[in-house]
Amino acid sequence: MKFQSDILSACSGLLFAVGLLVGWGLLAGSLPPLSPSATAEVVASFYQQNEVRIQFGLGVTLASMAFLVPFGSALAAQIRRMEGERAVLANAQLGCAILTAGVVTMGMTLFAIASFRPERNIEITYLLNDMAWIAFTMPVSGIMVWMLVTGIAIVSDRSAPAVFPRWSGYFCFLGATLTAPGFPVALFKSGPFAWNGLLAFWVALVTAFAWIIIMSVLIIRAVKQEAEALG
Amino acid sequence: MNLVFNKASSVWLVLILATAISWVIGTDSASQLGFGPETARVLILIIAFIKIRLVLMHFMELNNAPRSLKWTGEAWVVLMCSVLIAVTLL
Amino acid sequence: MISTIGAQDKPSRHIPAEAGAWVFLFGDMSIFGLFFATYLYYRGISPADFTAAQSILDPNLGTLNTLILLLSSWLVVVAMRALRMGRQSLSSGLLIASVLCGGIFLTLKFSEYGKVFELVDEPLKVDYFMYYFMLTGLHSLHVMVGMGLLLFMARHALGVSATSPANWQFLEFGGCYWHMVDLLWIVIFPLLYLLR
Repeated sequence: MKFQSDILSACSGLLFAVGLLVGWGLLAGSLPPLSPSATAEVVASFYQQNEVRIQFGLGVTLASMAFLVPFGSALAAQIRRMEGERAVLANAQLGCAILTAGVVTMGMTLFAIASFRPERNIEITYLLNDMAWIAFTMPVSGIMVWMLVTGIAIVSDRSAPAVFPRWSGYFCFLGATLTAPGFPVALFKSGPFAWNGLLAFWVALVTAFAWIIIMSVLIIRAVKQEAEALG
Repeated sequence: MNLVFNKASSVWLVLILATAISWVIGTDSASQLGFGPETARVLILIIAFIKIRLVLMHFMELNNAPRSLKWTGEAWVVLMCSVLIAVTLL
Repeated sequence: MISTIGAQDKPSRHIPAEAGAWVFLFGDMSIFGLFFATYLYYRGISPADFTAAQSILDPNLGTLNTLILLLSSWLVVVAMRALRMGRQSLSSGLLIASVLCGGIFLTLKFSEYGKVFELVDEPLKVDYFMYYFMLTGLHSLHVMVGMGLLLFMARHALGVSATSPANWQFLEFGGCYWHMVDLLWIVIFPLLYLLR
């Protein structure tokens, strides 16, 4: 079949999402998150009591991080169809995909380091936990610009038939708006903009997952249409 | 078609008037006007959502949009207004 | 009289901008709605603290900002009409005027931020001001994006193909975005300045 690697790459975005949810979310027990207002004792005992679960879960997550890159590449191939040879947005988009994978990898690695010696001085575990959460939730500009650039490419695509449906471009803009509220997490220890808050965490996380799933489906659909057109 | 004297402009005047009314309710202590703080809160929210409906229908022109989109807008206004009123009365 | 003029303006039913744009508009508005509900919930838990903190702000300034945004929204409505009538430079000028309104809005907003920092020690540790800064801050970001869109619109309105379908779609989206900025402020203003 034509374009098999495109379809595999599109699906690899889902591997990233599943690896993050299952490893970090379920196995390591990070959903719902530890509160930023929790004391050092509470945080340290979380790592002490769930030591192996956390370490194993983060292993699963960290093994799946780079699968975001082939997904970005499959998306780049479609954006290149929209904008032609110069592919400014396609390249920007791929760069942001790599940056996002890097940011999440960094956050997850810090979680793994925090879980490495749970018997250590609790203040140090406290610090590492802060580092991990802030490194994971605060650097939002990678994913925000990723969605923005993708949205601009889709909305400015005037080819017929369009590569992606036009609503998906506006959905990208919405995604960029909704993943942005992570930027002030260092300012707050409670409320909707803390690292466990409704807007800075839950809305942003659900938006990011929904975006990856929807874009994967759209890429696969577009690839099939492309293959049919070529006969 | 007149640039300035048209329906959108009369809607705009209503919006200004509504702003003035909620300013009176919100700044003059509610007791002076003869109703409790709870009533004042609900009134202020209802006025805000009437204004929102006017902006959606006349400025964003949902009034003239296909009925499904228009009714999505109407439903959004009613839903959002009732949720916010419910939360204030909790 | 007024209503007959309005009636003449209406052709058949038409989706403002395009269907997909409403995914963004309703989505963004709904998330702000979620934020408003969160604010009202926490306000309901400790109303006295919120009212005390709120008393530092001047509701007249909030009202003035509301009027400025309403004025700018109306300028955009008139600009779109002018463009339909083929008066391109007038339309462009009106759009620039509404960018200026946005600029005045932001100037007043930021001067109010300065005042809050002057009068309150560590305002971010006060719940009311946390919501105040985040609600108005996210809204101000929308204002800035909107001003950028209006500037683009002002340029597009002058072009030879100002009313081509693709161009018109963009102009209507930009207009709707600006009205949404106004609409969000219509709720933020009473929530932060008027509720007791």
